[in-house]
Amino acid sequence: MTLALSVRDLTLDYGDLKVLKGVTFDVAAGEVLCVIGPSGSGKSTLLRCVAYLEDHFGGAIRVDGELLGRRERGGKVVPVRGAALRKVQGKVGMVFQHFNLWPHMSALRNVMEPLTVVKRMDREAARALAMENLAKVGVADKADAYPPRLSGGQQQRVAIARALAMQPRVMLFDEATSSLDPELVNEVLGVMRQLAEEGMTMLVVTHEMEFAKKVADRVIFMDGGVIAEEGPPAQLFDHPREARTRAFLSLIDHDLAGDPA
Amino acid sequence: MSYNWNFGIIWDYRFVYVYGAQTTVALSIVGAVFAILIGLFVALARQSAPKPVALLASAYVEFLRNTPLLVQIFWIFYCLPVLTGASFTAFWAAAISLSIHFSAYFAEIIRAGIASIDRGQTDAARILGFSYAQTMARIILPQAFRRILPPLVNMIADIVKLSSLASVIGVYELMHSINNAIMNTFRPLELYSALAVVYFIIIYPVAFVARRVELRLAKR
Ligand SMILES: Nc1ncnc2c1ncn2[C@@H]1O[C@H](COP(=O)(O)OP(=O)(O)OP(=O)(O)O)[C@@H](O)[C@H]1O
Ligand SMILES: [Mg+2]
Repeated sequence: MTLALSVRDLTLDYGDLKVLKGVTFDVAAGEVLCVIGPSGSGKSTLLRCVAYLEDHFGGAIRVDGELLGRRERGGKVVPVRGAALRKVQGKVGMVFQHFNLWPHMSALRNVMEPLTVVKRMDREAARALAMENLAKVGVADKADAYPPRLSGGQQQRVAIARALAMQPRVMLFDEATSSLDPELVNEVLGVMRQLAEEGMTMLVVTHEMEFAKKVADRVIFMDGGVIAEEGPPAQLFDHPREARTRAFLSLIDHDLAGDPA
Repeated sequence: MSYNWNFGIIWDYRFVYVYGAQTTVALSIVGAVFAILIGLFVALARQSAPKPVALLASAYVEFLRNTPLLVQIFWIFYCLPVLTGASFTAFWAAAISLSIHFSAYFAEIIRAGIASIDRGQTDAARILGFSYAQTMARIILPQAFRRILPPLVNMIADIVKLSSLASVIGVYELMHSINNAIMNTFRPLELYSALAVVYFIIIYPVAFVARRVELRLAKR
């Protein structure tokens, strides 16, 4: 079993605030790991570390066996920057709650830009690959539209296409559907589910418990900057061991009572 | 009040206006281009350079914004050559003064423009593998440009207006040329009135073009 991602003793402080207090877990290739937990428990921060958008973490993150943002030299671990960093960082793709499409570029350009700028593909090859990925998530017909003209669901699917086109080893999703109108949530969850079925390795922070139940191979429950409980969805949702997991799940169940799953 | 207007005098001095305007425009263009380049550099230094450099950049901005341009012009024309041994013509002394003085304002405008772009834009670029320079050049600055443009153009208009201060060190731009003409003719009313119109003719198109560009960008 190859590990696509391994996280060891991950800690992160913002000044006096300890946000991550030693987080350790692995994600095997092709596995879907969902992360749930209350607001402020450090889920986004965890993903931002794995994406190396935060660089001052303690502990170690390995993507495909390679240390992220650090190098071992003579028994010591030293930071790396520039191309050496981006080589490992490039194996990680990320989808954000607020899409973060670039509003001054068409949907197609959004997907092409990293291919031409970072991978130095020629324009025609980049265009073909971009169109292929836009088609895959069902927004090929919106290729020439600018992001502000697209619905939230369409924007998020373009953002997924943009990440996929770079052929990442691991995809991170940070509440990818939380800022969508309810009727648009399923089109994005559908794409995520399709990716999971195709064998994409995924680390998914979500409030969509139904998605976690059906799609995740394993679920992590985070609370107060640590992993409070971890297990297959059937166990974690139906027979949680920890009191705080139970408390959190009952709260969520309450919130979602009557919601179509 | 009966003043004998003699508008013919303006026609007689038309070449003085033309040459003066050429120098004013040249001074303003050189001043604006270097002010924007230095300003961009200082803005990026304030935002992303190591602490000491960032502090230095802030000090640069504060010092220049809180001293008069006129003093800076005199200092660069009279003091800098004494200190460095290098000497420049009055034109270049004025151009350097305008560049440096306005670079502080452009640095502020550009910094504010960059800061107004959502952090998620940078996050997306970085996770996709863009370097700092690529993120700035392709993602942040093009978006910041739309917000920077209106204050930027106002500032360019100010450069044209304040280039008239170069007259104090004898640069034959519009102001100085016309002052000289008035000494010879004793016709301040005609010549100053026409001078105002000439400045307007130079400055107004800048604002006009900027508004058109702004509208075109907004339409997308
Ligand atoms: N840049 C920052 N500076 C200071 N504190 C921060 C920063 N980013 C996050 N925090 C704090 O870190 C803690 C964890 O935040 P994080 O966004 O990781 O939580 P989360 O689990 O994703 O919550 P949510 O479900 O609301 O998205 C919070 O207390 C938050 O206020
Ligand atoms: Mg979050």
